[in-house]
Amino acid sequence: MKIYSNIGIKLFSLKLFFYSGFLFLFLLNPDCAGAGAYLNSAHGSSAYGAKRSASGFPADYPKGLCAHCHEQHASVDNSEPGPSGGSPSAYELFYDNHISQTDGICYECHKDSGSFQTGGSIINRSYSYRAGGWTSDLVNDILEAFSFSSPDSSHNLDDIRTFITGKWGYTGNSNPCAACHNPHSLQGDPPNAANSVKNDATRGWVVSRPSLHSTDNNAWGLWGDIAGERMSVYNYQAPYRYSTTTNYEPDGSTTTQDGSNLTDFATFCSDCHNNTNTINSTALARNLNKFSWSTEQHGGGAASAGCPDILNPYQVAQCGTYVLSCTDCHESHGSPNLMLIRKEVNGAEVTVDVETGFGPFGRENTEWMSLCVRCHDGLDTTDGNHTHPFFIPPQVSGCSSFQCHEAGDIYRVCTECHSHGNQDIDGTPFGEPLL
Amino acid sequence: MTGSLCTDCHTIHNSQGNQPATFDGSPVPYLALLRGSCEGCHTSTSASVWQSSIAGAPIVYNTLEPSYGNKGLAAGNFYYTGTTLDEKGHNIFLSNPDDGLGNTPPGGLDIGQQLNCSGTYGCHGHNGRQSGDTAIDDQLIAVMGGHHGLSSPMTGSIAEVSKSYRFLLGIKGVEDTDWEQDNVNTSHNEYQGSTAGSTDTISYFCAECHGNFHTWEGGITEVGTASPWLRHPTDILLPAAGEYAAYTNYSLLSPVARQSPDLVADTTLVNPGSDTIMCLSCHRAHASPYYKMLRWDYKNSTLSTALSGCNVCHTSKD
Repeated sequence: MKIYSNIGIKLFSLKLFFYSGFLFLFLLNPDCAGAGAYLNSAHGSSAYGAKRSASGFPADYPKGLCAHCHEQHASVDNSEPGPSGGSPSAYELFYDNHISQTDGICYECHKDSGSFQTGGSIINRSYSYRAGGWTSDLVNDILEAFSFSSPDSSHNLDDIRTFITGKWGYTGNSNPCAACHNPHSLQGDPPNAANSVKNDATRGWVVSRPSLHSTDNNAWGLWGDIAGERMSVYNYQAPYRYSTTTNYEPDGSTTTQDGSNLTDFATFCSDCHNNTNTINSTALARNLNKFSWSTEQHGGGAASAGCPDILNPYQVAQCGTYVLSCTDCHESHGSPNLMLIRKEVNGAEVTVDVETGFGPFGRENTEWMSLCVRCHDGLDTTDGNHTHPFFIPPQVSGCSSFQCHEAGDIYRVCTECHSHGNQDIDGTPFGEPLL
Repeated sequence: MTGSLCTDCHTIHNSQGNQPATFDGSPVPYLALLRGSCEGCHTSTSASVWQSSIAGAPIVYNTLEPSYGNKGLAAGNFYYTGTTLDEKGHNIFLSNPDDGLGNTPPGGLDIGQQLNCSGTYGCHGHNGRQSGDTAIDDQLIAVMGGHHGLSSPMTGSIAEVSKSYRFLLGIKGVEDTDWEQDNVNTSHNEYQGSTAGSTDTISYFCAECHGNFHTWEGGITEVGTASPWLRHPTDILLPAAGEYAAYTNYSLLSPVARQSPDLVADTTLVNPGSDTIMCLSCHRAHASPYYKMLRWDYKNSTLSTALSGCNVCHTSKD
């Protein structure tokens, strides 16, 4: 997000634009020359932007025109163009803004078949696919991503809408997708390359902070499009991409691993997910745990207890200073795992889809270890009876304790101890909240 | 219309040198001893003529594409509906009815007959659409007295055609001396706007036929009464906040209406929070070179051009 009130930064940005990137950007997208945020956005691109194809709708409207989403008079030539059959919709949209988890204006185009976008489909891949390079992911559109339901997971749009209503200029009519995305500004990442992973030659920026929401495109800019809005403001270590130890997320770079190419999702997500906001989860039938990323063990807290067994590319010497991005573990839209956990983390696949499963070490209820082992080594070390609980800090004396077991020798589910915001186990101070 | 000769417009016997004295050479005389119909005085066969030598009438129809102003005067030019195109203007020519819409204006009801200039089936004069007015079918009788009356003060009275802006009964406004033929924002028409459901605004006038498109006519189910709007609103304030606050220099590409058009301190400026959005912020009244009578080329293949009119108000969506 450009800080337009800061003249120094603005001038610096202009210099960068003219002297460093102008030729490249122009070749990449001719609209860049003198264009504003909308013309540089995915929807407003004259090369690949929104273009509705529907009965009764002018076929010769240029790509990116307002009318592809907004109907100024809710009719053309006295008839409602497709999709027809309803009364005028809020914001002059051609379809109701939000109806349900799987029904609303965005899905009228963002699906892989039956889309009103010219061509009949819009492909959007998961974060694991694009940033993680896990191209085996079969999820290929937004509707599909938001269709995951228990025990799988997707960001609940009704819950989002409930939460944002009355905040930051949002109302009960707001589209929950607009909690994270400015439709007049967001860019493809990568743009116009549906089945491509991110790469360092073609980048776009997709999110805008909800706390800065405004109908003014200048005020509600992209988040992450300038250096101060990226994970490099922390001590960040980029995970590996799928099946490699040389290429880092999010763009496959072999050298950049400090987050200077990744949006500061810690700040972005914390607009909603923090230690003050109460957010109801329909799927969990409870409020989400409150936590401060600035003190979480994976955030700004000093994670150190498990560091002797940390896995590459994380370095033992830097334990206690790392700040992870939420996207290192979570998808933003939906996932075939619990809690929006990515299907690929730090180079390999993760399966956490029932929670009580046996996990990578064949012990009941330890399925979450599928995620933990992507970065934490030593969890399979055993004393003959135990794996991970063997390493519970000695002051807790986990062995044979009800604190670690259900009936018999069945482990308690990992998340009973490890969750965002949790600092103890059954009242006993403890260290490492994970989820 | 002052200082003109009676014979500029009228003929006593429709005969001069034993030939018809009508402009179109018709031997059939017109009502009120006129020498022609509306078109007779307001048409030019030249591309560059914007004002008739006959009594100084504004030209609203050039038979060749107009080369002055922004392709015509403030309301545009019927040249663009004089051909086979139906979608670029109000189809007033019997030779070119609207094949798609027929006699039903978008957002309104069938008016029963092809649109013409004035009277029951037209825009100017007594069309019966203002409360208390009685429609007159004949186009010339419907505006009778209008050309001879004094427009000042402009009261919008429905009793006197001349007291309404451009003979649009009940409507107020301020006329530019050259009807914007010079196409500069230092001299232009001023249109009446209101946020109080007034019936003297230019947008209310449009809503007499296109009712579903007007904020205070269409109502809650058609347009809404506040954001989020269901259709693009008119007769609402240009907001003084956000991107709208940046529209401060009057643009002929997307002009605004005023709540007191005869009391504008500086006509080159726009006042967000006071001035209003109107139908003519986007459309020309008669016809334009562009799809749906828009003031700019909404279908231009260069997207920034296609959006140029939108961005006058939506300043951050460039």
